[in-house]
Amino acid sequence: MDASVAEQQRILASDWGGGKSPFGTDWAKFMMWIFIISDALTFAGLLIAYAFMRATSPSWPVQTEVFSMVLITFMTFVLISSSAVMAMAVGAARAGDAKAAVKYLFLTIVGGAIFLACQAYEWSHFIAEGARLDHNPFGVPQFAASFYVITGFHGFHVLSGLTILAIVAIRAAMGKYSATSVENAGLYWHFVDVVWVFVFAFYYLL
Amino acid sequence: MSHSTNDHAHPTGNRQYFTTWCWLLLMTVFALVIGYIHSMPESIKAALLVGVTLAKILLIGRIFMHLKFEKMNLVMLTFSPLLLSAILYFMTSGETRMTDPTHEVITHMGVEVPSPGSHEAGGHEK
Repeated sequence: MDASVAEQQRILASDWGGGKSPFGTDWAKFMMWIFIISDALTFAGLLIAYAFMRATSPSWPVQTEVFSMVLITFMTFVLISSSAVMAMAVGAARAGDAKAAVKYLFLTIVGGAIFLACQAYEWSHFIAEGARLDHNPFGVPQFAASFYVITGFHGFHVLSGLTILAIVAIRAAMGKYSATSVENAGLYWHFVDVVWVFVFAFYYLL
Repeated sequence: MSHSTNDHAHPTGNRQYFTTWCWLLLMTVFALVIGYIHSMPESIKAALLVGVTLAKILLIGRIFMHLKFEKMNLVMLTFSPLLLSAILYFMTSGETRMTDPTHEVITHMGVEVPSPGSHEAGGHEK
């Protein structure tokens, strides 16, 4: 009898055993993961649609000649850096160091704000050059349309991330926060970084 | 301040985050170099960029998002969008590359779509 109970407990504690917490996380973190996965599917749809447009288009402008790659690389640098700092914020929150957590959160927000400012500059420059959703001076209409949709959708996520981070930072400064809330905000911020890694490679470089 | 259920399993320190950040920047520069080599065949360029991108997201996922501390079922769940993307891409690739033998008429609004050879100036050739 004891052996069967021990065996049952061993199974429940295994990766696929279920147990009290099937995925080994608390509900808030697991819900964040579910949200991230569903959001990833949305971006996957957008990027696969972009691949479809690229493959069916008879030509495509050379992106490195259309866009300022110095600016795009700088934006990538800023977002990767803010992601690293966000990871430090999570570490500080877990260690119970609220002061360090607030400092790192603030630096992450600054990074995100710089990224958004650069994107606003890039958009305004692109619009000034005559690029619209249905036509552009560089070639096929899909070129500008996919740019606005993909980078716009990502930019909206950055803006949402900044709002979430600001709320978490203010709450942390007031002492009203949990390590899980900082970690969940961090998961979202890293996801925004992951999406940009794809956009950078497939939209700007390929 | 409260802690989550798996607090014990996060020994990652700032030094490892810094190392990861350095690797990510290095791979970004590598991807940039690949992007600037216009003479490279598209297929090789695509394969290299996909490889670098996957390496980058694996690093971000494992280190920054702490996936290396999570249970395997959650880790596998997070990679489902990648798998579905690959399925969707290869499902449509026959049609998009116009290699599907069932592909007969390619027209848009009654006008024949230019063949892959008759591209506009200044763009990538297909």
